[in-house]
Amino acid sequence: MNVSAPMGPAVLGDAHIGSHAKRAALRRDLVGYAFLAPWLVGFFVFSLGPVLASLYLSFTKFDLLTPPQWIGLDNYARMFGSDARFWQALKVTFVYMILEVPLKLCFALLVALALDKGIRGGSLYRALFYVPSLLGGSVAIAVLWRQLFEGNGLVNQVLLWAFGIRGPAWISNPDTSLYTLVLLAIWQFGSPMIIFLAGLRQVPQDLYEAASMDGAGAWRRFRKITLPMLAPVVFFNLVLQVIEGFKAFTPAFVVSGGTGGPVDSTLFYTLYLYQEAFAYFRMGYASALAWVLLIVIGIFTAISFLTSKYWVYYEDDPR
Amino acid sequence: MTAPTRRQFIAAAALAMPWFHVQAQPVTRLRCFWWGNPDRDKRTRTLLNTYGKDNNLKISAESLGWGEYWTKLGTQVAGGNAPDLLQMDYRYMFEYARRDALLALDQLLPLPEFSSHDRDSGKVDGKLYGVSLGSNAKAMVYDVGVLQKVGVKSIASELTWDEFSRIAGEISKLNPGKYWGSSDSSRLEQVFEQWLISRGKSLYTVDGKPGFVADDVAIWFDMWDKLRQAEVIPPAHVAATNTGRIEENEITRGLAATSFINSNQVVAFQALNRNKLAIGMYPRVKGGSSGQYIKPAMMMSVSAKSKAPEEAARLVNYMVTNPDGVRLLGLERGVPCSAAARALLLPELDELGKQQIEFVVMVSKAAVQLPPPPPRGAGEIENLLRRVADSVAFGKVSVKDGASQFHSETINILRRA
Amino acid sequence: MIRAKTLLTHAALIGATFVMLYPLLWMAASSFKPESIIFTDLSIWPKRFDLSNYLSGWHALQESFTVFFLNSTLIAVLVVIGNCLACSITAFAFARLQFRGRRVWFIVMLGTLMLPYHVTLIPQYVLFQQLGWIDTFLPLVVPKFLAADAFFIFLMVQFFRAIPRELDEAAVLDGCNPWRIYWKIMLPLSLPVLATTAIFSFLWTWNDFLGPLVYLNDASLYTVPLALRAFVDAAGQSAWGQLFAMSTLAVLPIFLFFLFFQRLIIEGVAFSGMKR
Repeated sequence: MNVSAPMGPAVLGDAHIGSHAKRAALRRDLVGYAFLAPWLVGFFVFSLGPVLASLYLSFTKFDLLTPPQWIGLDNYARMFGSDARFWQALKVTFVYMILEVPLKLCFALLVALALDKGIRGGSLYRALFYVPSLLGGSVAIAVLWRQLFEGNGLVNQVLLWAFGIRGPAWISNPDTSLYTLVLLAIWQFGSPMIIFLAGLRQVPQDLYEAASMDGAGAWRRFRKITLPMLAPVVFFNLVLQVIEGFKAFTPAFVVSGGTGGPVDSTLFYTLYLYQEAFAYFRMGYASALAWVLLIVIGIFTAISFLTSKYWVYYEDDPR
Repeated sequence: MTAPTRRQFIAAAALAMPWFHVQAQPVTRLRCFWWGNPDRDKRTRTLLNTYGKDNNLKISAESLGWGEYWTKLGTQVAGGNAPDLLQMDYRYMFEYARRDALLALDQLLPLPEFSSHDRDSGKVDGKLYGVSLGSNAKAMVYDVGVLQKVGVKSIASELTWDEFSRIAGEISKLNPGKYWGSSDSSRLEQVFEQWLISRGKSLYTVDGKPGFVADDVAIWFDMWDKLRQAEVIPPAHVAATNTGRIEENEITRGLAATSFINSNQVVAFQALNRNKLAIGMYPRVKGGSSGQYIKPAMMMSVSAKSKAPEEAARLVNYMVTNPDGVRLLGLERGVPCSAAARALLLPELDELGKQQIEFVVMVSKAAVQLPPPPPRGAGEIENLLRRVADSVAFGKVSVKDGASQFHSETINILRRA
Repeated sequence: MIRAKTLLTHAALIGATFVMLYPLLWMAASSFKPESIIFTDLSIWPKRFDLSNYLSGWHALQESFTVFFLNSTLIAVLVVIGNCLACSITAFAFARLQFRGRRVWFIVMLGTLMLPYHVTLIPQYVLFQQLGWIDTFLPLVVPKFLAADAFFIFLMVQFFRAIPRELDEAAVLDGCNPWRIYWKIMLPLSLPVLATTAIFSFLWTWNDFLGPLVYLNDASLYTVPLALRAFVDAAGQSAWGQLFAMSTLAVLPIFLFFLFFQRLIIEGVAFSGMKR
């Protein structure tokens, strides 16, 4: 299973190794950059300029309608020094993520495992479980979500009828409103589920057969074969869900009507950013907010990558 | 090949004529951008099409929903690509005009058909930036049937807040815990403003400072808190889902008998309600003024960077004074400012439409002067009130603390903006 | 013989499906109800099946929904093609090729994922305006052919890395150049991830709202999500019945697209040891 070093000019004599090695390296670079060319072009033309522009804007006061004015670090100073809503937005976003990412991934993995076994009608279930993800930022769903989780909405009616519990007004109570959004996110677990399914398909069957012939039970097979083979995919889903979680916008926007309410309990970071940029004409401050978010996400992603060395196993690693 | 005959030459020339004709008269392009809904869109597009054909203009009609409209408009203006005609809202007009995004229309649009009040309502710092497409006024919408049940045939125009509370209390007794007499308006800036004016104060002063003190806010929060304790208005968790949208309003949800809206919204409310609705004036403080004024529901402005300002202005004029234009737009954007336009529409209106016109006329008789323009940051303060009022409603802060919090935060926002 | 375990699993799945789909059922049911009761009636079985919302909704806006569906489909299909091609080439470079600066560019690529959309919106708008691309589909499509979607690059990198290198090395020994390795070996083995990319690309592009909002002015270019917003006016009169009707219809194409492509994830790979 292990991989040897890439083929090189080891067969040539000593005298030629230097220049041949150099030429081979140059050829490798050229090939690499040839394949990378489309992305590089796209990056330099469509991403780099706007990204640098947004960095510049974060040091300005820009109200969209008149040219930006340089104000140095004032935006950042205000953010960390005197902006209570900034901290609230951070808190809301963190809590949201800590809840929805693990739960969503667990559901996705569980359902993927269940469907991967080849149940009758599995493909139909798969499609149906995916439908919520199709509904995205639908206005209709936002309306329904509010109706479901209101004080006398369907959820509470069911709770009362089935368990005799009088539930709170989930969506309009600041203490519980965020949980309804977490639920909305988990409801849309279809995307990581599909990715897990694709990953499960790549696990060679014969490994399972060999293991069960050796007498390994389902749980052992899962732990020793499925999980390690799935590790790159789990890692991918984890990193992406974290990034998407930080950038979550549409659920809060539609459900709270763009206010982040009640009492800022659903003030997602990007929603706060959006308010500052487009409702209050403070695009410079919003750009600063965006860069802080970028750094936070970057830190989390870096941590994920650094710790992945210990638990993610790639087929093409010489380990 | 023989030389072209005279006939062929004339035929060719005849075919080429239209091309020359078009070349000689370049067609002006105008872009018109507004927010709306399917009904308004259809009316406006018909108007733009007809006008464009009659005046040899190519008018590009663009519309979106309210929330998306401002994002897109901000992006376009920032990108130097603003449309020629832009629909404006009272508050946003100040922001846009003060940042030189709008054209001053005094020379191009003298608007003699408008009363000076209506003209002034579109002015920023003395110059006309927005032409009112229709007026509205604050209106209390109520369920006619339910009010009759407690013996109220219609809302008296000089109803006080105390009487209102009494009536609402009676209604709440009809179905306690499930239906209330009034929606919770402690969180609505427009009601707060009317209450302040009725007491002789104001929301903002001419130089952009708060026109009230923390004690005023405390009295306001306290008034609604008492109503909440007496279960005349819904508890916090029922009221908080209302972020200002019609479908979130307690009346639409079948939870309250009265709510505080703008007069031109009554049509939308009625469409979503099975029961018959009607509008009346807001209650007033005992011995105080009505606190109400006529304001533009929405306006049409011209971009400062428009390449065809005269044409744009002429189109705006058509919308508000030309009989065909007025008829096409109807009452949908509010009650037309020009008396002639109102007279034109009146015979063809349904009951709700007539009610609206009568209501606006009634309010204008009892109206106060237009308050000072909202300063920068007013939008934020509107959200702030909702947040703090909800905090008080949920019991997270006391009435007194909430009041001082709102007052000091308002000062901060105004200072920062 | 039906085992209890299978029965239980099926019962759980059916129950879960119903809970998952309840919101969609409500939306569909509401499209058949008259507007005056939509916000007070939570039932998913309307008393009458009234198709008027569908008929009127289709033509309610300036253009008929035929135009909007065609626009959405065209853009989505182009984006799928662009993403599958460009992102797989880029992922191949990151996953399989060695070249100086590879790690740096990988980090930069990941970085492009992390910036929230709203901030680069204005500078990008200005850029596209300079290019004269406003009011066309170009800003929505061209960047995808230049691998703008780092999500898919990253996804494919992870999948490529799960494919054993022996295959590449055998091919090199056989005299294959990198392009052939990519085209003849990697791609065919990557059907699951390509299908995944296709599904997500189609779905996200179909549901994408901010891009079309900002770049498309003329109503004849609008996509379905953009058109749907025209039904709702927060302060005025909205057309809720029509909104729900059209929203229900809007889900159909993506659902069908998904049904078709998800088989590829499952049929997957014809390769010894990986075949199912």
